[in-house]
Amino acid sequence: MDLDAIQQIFFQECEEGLAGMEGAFAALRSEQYDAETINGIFRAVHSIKGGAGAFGHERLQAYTHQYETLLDLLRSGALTLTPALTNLIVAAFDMLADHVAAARDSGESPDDAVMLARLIAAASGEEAAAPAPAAPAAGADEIAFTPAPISLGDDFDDLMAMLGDVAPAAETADAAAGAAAGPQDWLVTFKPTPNALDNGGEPLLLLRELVRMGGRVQSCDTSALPPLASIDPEVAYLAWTIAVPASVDEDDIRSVFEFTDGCAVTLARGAPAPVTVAEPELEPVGPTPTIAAAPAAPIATVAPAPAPAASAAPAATAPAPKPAPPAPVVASVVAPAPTAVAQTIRVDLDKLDRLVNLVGELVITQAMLAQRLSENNMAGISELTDLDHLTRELQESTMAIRAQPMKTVFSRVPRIIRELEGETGKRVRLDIEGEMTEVDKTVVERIGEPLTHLIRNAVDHGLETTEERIAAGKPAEGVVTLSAAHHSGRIVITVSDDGRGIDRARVRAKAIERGIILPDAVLSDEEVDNLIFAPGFSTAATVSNISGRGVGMDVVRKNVQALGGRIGIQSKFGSGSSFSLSLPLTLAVVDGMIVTVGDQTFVIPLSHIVESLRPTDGAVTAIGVDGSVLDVRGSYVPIYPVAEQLGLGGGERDPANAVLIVVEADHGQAALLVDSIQDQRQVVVKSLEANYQAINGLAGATILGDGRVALIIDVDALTAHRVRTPRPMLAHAA
Amino acid sequence: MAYVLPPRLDTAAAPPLRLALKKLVEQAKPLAVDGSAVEQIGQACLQVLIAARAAAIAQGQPFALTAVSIPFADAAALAAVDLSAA
Repeated sequence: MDLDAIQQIFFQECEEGLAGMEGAFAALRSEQYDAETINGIFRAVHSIKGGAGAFGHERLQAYTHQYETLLDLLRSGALTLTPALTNLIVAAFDMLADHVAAARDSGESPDDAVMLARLIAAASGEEAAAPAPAAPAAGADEIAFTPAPISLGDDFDDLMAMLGDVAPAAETADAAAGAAAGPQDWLVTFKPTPNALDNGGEPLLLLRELVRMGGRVQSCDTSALPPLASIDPEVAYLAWTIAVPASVDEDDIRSVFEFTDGCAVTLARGAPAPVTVAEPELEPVGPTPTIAAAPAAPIATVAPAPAPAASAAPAATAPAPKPAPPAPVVASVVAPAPTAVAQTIRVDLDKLDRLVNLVGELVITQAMLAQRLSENNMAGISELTDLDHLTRELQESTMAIRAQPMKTVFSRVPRIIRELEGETGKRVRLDIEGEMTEVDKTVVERIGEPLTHLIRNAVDHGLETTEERIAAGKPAEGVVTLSAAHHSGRIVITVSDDGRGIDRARVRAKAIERGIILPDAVLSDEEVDNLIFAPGFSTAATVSNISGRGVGMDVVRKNVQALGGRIGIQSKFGSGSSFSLSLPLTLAVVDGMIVTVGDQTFVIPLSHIVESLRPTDGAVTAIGVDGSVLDVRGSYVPIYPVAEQLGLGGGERDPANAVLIVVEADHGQAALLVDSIQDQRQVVVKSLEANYQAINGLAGATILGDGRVALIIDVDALTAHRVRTPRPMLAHAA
Repeated sequence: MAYVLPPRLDTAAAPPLRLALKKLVEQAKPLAVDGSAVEQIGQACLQVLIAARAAAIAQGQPFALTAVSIPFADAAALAAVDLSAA
């Protein structure tokens, strides 16, 4: 591996470190942090400094040095964290991100003179409540540490951080040092009564309480747990052993269990086991360690995200004072055993893309094989079914490799919010939900821009000024909520604010003024809201340089549509708006229904399909000149003949002889009229834009088992307008 | 195909979770469970997952936890339950 490649890894680690810091700031702000939070920030900065020095990024190194000095004073307790200091740390972080970007792109380093001065001043106690010991404003390019007192554990820590990674052993050393020094810890065994889960009871909360006191849950006893077939899911079966530091008062421990009727709790002084630091490292999968102390902080060993602080993953392990009996295979165990083997590897994206392409080709070949076999009356052979399952699994596994948590996008948002706060003078709180929701990399990469615009829009147009909010009886601080969740095979990202909501009268007036709608148009509330997506629409009285950077909401909608997504608004005047983006999890494969229209074959994405019906007599009612609606159990759904909508010659027009496929589209349900249904299968999406050109009403193309090209229907676009006069536009396509 | 755990896994969610996992285990195929959407999980559902894992392994089928959310990892660590170990 050459130096460039190593440097590349360094920058990737910088990104991860920065993302981890952003998460820690949220904890600092909400004052829900502990020493480990500050340690985590320190380690991230320290790692960046180490790498910067190694690769000769002097400005970055000098900057991180001062930043680290301040953080070190905080973590050693020499300085106390005040809101002012928190703000400084966060501001310094933004500049650190700029520094990293400059080093990576060989760009110009940001002007950090003022920030450095502030950091130095803060380190000398000028901005802090507590006076600090003289923290020498050391020469900026000096790598040496500030002389803050550090413990043995920290020493290890720093060493490992310098090496770019903290092996669990370092933490073990920490734990071991602590264990060896202290008197005998409490050993608490806790077995909730069988009915402990009744009435919303949650024994885990008691564990959390003990952990908050400094306790470590050492083992979980699952021996009383019946097999899955006979388990009563609402009965508590588990029991735990928890080590609580000797310094905690017995009464305090007992008070945790005060309101738990009759659960079995024993309390005893356990003898701290002798610990050798190296042991877990020498025997990572030794026969004994059925017990591993679970750390108080969340573990992320199996988390999909590259743990922002691989360095901070607290896999503290201490041999238990009282080992549990050898567990059955099912295992009453435990936090991940310390393992010296890396859990993740970095893979070049090109290699991954090649793999995805190959899998796509395999899916097509498999479909062709199936077709060929069925022509020879061998469609039913079990090997084909197996191959089908394997291919599908392979495809899903490949896609899972590409999946990334939304966190990679969301972690950039706090900074955007901070900048907006500065520009608008509004006070904004950002709530993030579901950031670990995973979605394909392509979606992650392309959702950033529309999302940024929506956030800017929410702060700039959505939220009122502080004065307006107070006058309206709202809290001074506006709230912008960003959430992501999986919802029936799609990812739904929501950006909502508790601001003024959409002023429909104003939107309407504006749309009339701009000639977007006629003055006498009758529009539902929803239709009025959707006007803001019309090209050339802008409601801000003056176009600000925040959300009005030449990109309108129409562009946002277009970007989202290009991702195969939809955008929706919910708004209540006076209490806020919510924009939700519904996106496919991946852009490469869709489950589709293969249908025939005339002599053409089309694919309708399964995610849109509600049901397929052959209309009975009287289920179809004619409306207007040539329109008709389908009565689906009492609700009327407009019918769109696909042949007519796409201007095809041939194809069934009479619902009585056709199949009606009820789909869920942007504008509610609709029924697509097709000649017949052929099959249902996964198809690999080939872009029309890339290979031909975009066609309204079509989302892409695919290759069928017989080698023919089938076009994939864009349900939303196809049902957006009812075409009345057939257009001969597709006669030669496909 | 991984079975995606719902976001809210409180005690009320345990009976349906047990049924769903029981069905999957009975298929006697490798069982993959995706916990990335979990926002909240309590003892009841943890127990069901432990039992499901045991049932799958007893049948000689692997049980893979393909992804976990932070709240999930947090709760599993708190309860010293490891669903990811082979």
